[in-house]
Amino acid sequence: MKLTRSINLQGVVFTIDEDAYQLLKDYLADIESRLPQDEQKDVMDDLESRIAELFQSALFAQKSEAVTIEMVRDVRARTGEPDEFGENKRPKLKREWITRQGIGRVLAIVLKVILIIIALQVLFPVLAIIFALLMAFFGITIGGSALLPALGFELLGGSTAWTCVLCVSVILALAMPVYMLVHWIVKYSRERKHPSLRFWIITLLIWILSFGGLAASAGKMIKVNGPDLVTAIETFDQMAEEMADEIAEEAD
Amino acid sequence: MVENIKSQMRKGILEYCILSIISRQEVYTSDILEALHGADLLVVEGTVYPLLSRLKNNGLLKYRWQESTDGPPRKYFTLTDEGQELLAALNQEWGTISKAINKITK
Repeated sequence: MKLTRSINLQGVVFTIDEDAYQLLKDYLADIESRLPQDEQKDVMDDLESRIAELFQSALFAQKSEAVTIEMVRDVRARTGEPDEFGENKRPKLKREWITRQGIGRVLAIVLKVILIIIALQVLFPVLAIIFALLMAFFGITIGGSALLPALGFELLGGSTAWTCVLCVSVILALAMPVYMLVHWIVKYSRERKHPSLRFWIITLLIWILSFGGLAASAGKMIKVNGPDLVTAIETFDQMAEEMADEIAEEAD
Repeated sequence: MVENIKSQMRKGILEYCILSIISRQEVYTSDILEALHGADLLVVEGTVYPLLSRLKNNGLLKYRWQESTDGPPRKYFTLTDEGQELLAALNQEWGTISKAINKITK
């Protein structure tokens, strides 16, 4: 028992065995891929008409109702191998490599590369965001409350909105270069192409805007009295001495 | 090597032969193939379809469709005026080539 299909060759319907159908389909697809665009329709129509005629003769001669794989092979021997129709446009090296390595191995490598790319695309921005959040948190709390006054900046406090602007700006300022770099690597490894000019313009604009946001929010939340480096150094010295004393006392 | 040269020689004169077959009368693809097979000029049919398409695209051939009772509709080919002119030029050229080859190979 064999599975069959129904095909239409230039208006003539044939019942064809499944294996014969696959062979015929691959044969026609291979020929079509070799033909120049402006000749494809004409040549394929002529070829299909001829194949239909040959199938009809074979079915009549063999008193068969379904086209068999032998009939397809006979037709192929008569109409010619695909290379008679034109050069193979697919790169030879790739095909030979696939044959040598086995399609299973190639698929496994492709899947691995895709997984790595996805992991990189997810991992890098997540790490960048976590890093930026940590930086923003410590920058605002510790830096803001301890170091900034020592450097001559006066903390004014700020609205929740400006605090948000500051956080988002810090995140974008740190994350955008990482994102640009990762996108560049991924695009080049995948398509052997550099990102478009549009991509660079948009990402650079966002990056520049993030610095604008940073400056604006800092301007609202911090008052600059002029950095007093001498006071700052004295404060650090004092803090260091106090810490040293504490350690010495604990040691005693 | 030998087969390749023979195949190239046959391919080179195939266009001339196709134009010549079509010039005799209105023919359809299978008639052309049979004539070429009969003259032992055709190894496989696949070489003819791209040639017919190219000749048609260059305005040397034209065709009309005709319904068939025992198969798909058939394309019947004839030469255009341009095709006739080219064939006349090729006939002349073939005469020259034929004389030259005979002279050299004698």
